Amino acid sequence: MKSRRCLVLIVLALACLFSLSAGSREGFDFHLDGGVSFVRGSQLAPFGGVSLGIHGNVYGMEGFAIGSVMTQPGGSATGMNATMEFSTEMGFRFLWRLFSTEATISRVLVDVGYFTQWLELPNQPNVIHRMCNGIMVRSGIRTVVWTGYLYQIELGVAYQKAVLPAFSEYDGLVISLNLF
Amino acid sequence: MKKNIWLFGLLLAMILLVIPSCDLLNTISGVIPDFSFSEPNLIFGSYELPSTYEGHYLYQLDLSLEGGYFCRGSDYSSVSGSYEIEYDHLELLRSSGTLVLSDGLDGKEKSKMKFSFEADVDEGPCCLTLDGRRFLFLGR
Repeated sequence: MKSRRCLVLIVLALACLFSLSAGSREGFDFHLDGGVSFVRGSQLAPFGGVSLGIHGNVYGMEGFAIGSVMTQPGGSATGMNATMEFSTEMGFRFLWRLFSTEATISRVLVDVGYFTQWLELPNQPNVIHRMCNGIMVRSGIRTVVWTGYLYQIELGVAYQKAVLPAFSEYDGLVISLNLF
Repeated sequence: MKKNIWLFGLLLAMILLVIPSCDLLNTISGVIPDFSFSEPNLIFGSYELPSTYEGHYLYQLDLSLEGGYFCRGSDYSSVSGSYEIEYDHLELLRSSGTLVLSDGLDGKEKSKMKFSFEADVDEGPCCLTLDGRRFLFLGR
């Protein structure tokens, strides 16, 4: 009972906090994230995920979760080192408004997330091993390119870097498309 | 009577639904992979420490995926036992750490060796260096 009260209080506190930053294009925001990152130089890694957060007049913050599939597991299509590779990441996204007009709004974004590399090795089928994991930082720009009645499309360009531990294989350019 | 027919029909429908759904569950659970949070064994396989004489070897080492090993010396003596890996650095193409062989390479005593493992991005495993001795990968 006590824990339920605490939960209600937390939700109310959050709602108050969010309402402080209410205004035009402000408030709760939910996105379906998708796109492609270029890992290991030029290898494609499509990704998808969700993000949920709050946008103020200038600042914004979102929690996000994304999953990415490497088209060349272990860096090669031969499958000699790995037959499947994907990564998962969860973290927070911080946004700053760069400029805005009636039609569009551009934001600078900084993602700080915890990533994990998952691999299926040859000779060990149907077992997914956890390999490298650590802190991923991503920074770039996201711009609203189309706004509808209930949803909008944002296009983003960013650069991601695995910083702790340094894992250069996942460093690279990211092009993202955000719906809603 | 009508109620009994309905009940019987319902029971039959449930049985007909449950049997294939169990089968479907088995199929689905078979497809879903197991997730392993422990460090994988990247180094298993057969290796050879070549001799300075061409075509000869000093040691042939077989590391099984299950943690057993078999080592044959150039004098045809052989040793088998178990091994353990401790990684200092774990990456698919380049990893290093400590390898503990229960009976060493020559069967005299337990042996703890520093190892580094290298793999080619396209060709797969390449070599295993044990205390500075470079064993070449033969196969798995």
